[in-house]
Amino acid sequence: MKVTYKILRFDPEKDKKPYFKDYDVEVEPTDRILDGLNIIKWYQDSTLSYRRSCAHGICGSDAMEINGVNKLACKVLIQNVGSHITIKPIRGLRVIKDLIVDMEPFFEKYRSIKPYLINDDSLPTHERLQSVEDREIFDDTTKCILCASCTSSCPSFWWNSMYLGPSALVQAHRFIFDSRDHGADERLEIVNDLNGIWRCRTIFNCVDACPREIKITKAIEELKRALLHKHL
Amino acid sequence: MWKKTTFSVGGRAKPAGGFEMYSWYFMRISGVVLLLMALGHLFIMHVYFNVDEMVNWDGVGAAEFVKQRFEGIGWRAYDFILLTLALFHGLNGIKWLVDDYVHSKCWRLFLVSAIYTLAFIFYVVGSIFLFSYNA
Amino acid sequence: MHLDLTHLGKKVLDEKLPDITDFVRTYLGIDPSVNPVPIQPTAHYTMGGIPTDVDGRVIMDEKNTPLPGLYAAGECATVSVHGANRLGTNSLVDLVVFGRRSGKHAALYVKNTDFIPLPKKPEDGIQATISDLYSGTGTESVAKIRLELQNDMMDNASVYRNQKMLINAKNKLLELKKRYKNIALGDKSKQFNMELFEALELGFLLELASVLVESAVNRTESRGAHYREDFSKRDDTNWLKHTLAYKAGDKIDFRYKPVVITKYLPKERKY
Ligand SMILES: Cc1cc2nc3c(=O)[nH]c(=O)nc-3n(C[C@H](O)[C@H](O)[C@H](O)COP(=O)(O)OP(=O)(O)OC[C@H]3O[C@@H](n4cnc5c(N)ncnc54)[C@H](O)[C@@H]3O)c2cc1C
Ligand code: SF4
Ligand code: FES
Repeated sequence: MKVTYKILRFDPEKDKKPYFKDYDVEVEPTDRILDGLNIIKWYQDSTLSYRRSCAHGICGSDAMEINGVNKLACKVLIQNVGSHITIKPIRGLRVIKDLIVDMEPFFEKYRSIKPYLINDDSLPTHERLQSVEDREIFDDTTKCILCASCTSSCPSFWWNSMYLGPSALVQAHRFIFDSRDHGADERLEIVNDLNGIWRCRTIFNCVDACPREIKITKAIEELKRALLHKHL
Repeated sequence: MWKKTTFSVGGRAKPAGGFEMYSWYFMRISGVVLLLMALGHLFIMHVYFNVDEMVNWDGVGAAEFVKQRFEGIGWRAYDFILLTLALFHGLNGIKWLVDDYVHSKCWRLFLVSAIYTLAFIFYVVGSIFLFSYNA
Repeated sequence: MHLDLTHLGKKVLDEKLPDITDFVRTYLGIDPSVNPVPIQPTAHYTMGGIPTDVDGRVIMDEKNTPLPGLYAAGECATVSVHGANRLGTNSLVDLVVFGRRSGKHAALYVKNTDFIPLPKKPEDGIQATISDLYSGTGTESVAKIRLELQNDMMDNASVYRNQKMLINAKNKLLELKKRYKNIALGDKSKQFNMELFEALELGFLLELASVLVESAVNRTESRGAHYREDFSKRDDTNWLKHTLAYKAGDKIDFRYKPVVITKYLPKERKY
């Protein structure tokens, strides 16, 4: 089938402002949006730039705004979008080139919640075991692939880029509720900030955007409740 | 590396004591209480005793009704709590809006001060009226 | 060909194989708990390539001489724990065990080593490669050559191989390498030039494909993941040895390193 990609282009070496460019592409209905982008890049216009790697929703590198909604280009089939496909870079982060945005502020926030095991106990002789029930508590938030779909769809983040954003909070949840980790207090205080968890306005855009179907707002509410329990 | 100042307004370290947490908690609790109290107010004023019907051309009926209500301390307390919660819930909501939309340090300082000043004035005027009303 | 998972039931599939189940639902529109899933071969793992010792030090020759300061661990490294075929789920050994060992050893090495003087212009080589790519005015495109490379390797050098196929592949590679010299970039920008990156990558892919194909031509036996239709048996007398490939101009030199057998003997695969 023939589809039209309308892509927001921007080359920092040439353009003052981003502009839309149209491409007609011959694809299968079961192709991914990413397949169409590849066809354009490889056979029509090799200057088109975007990030992609795994092509099956695992690496989190190709989040973009597809017909107004944040999605991974590799996880959406063309038949589910239709023949007019408008693509823009994700919002709230500086555009470097075409669909490539500067992810550094996003990863800086990720690093700020200390996304690694904190446990000063003496080294165990075997694995740190965990019951099925204990693992269940944070199972959902282990699924995050750091694609930034959520954070860049969050109005609170658009309004104020200092906000930690849903993704960093999901990652904080992943460690705070892990029974093997001892850094919960430390991390709870990091998110206990005007620009931390309290900037979440429960808008739910993140939940709609997440390609891993993580119940992000639920995780954030659990963090809020954990903070209340800790302080009240 | 996370630095304490990285994510705080205007580069200041975040205030100790977690004001934002209490503010959020206050919004939740006051929201629920306000809903119940507002429904109570609505029921009493407009369903059980229909104030609108009492109003005649000079408003005497309604004034008479309020006078009766305020004879005991109970209703004054009810209205005082309603005033307190509604005022601070509303103004805290506006402060959130300022937090979200106003990025300039000066404007933010000005608006937040204005909100607190307004809150103070309304609170004092409302309280004086409630407790000194002597019809 | 289909894979039938329906006997596992929805609950087990969702809990134990959530990703695979999701792929099948997303890309094929099939519920694997209800219908069988069509399958096909794909390249899912690179079985090492850079020979190392157990501390991740890259070795240069048959005598296991380490190349000072160069380490490799993970999917790119051959520590030789897996034999001639890495079995499912076992690659974590390379990351968790040998990644850790390499890191520790590298840290120790750095502590006890001083900087050596750099050659005059160390960046010259790669800069020349890049500027050649930028200034190329040929008629070939990166994407077209890569597609032909992929098809050729899939058809002639994948799961089942024989002499004829491999020679075909070898000849095709010669042709592709020649055409690669004649590519032109459509994107001349300096920032995030993904086409330049793909072009560089393609050059390396062509070299690696040659190593793979030529060593497969040489190895007249079947072992692990290398299956020759014309030599379907393992031949320990002649081929119980590792292949080492050296770049010699446009050609590849092959040398061989003996296999050290410790606890486990090589065995025929019976499944
Ligand atoms: C679909 C799939 C399923 C798998 N399932 C399993 C399983 O269940 N169990 C199991 O044990 N193994 C599994 N594996 C294999 C295992 O996941 C990999 O072998 C392992 O993750 C490889 O880790 P690595 O660190 O060696 O390499 P990678 O994780 O590939 O890391 C290489 C890194 O190098 C970076 N890089 C590349 N080029 C450059 C450059 N020029 N400059 C700087 N950086 C560069 C890349 O961006 C990447 O981050 C699976 C593999 C796949 C593809
Ligand atoms: S929570 Fe979901 S949307 Fe957000 S970064 Fe993780 S995977 Fe992406
Ligand atoms: S390319 Fe990896 S998630 Fe889409």
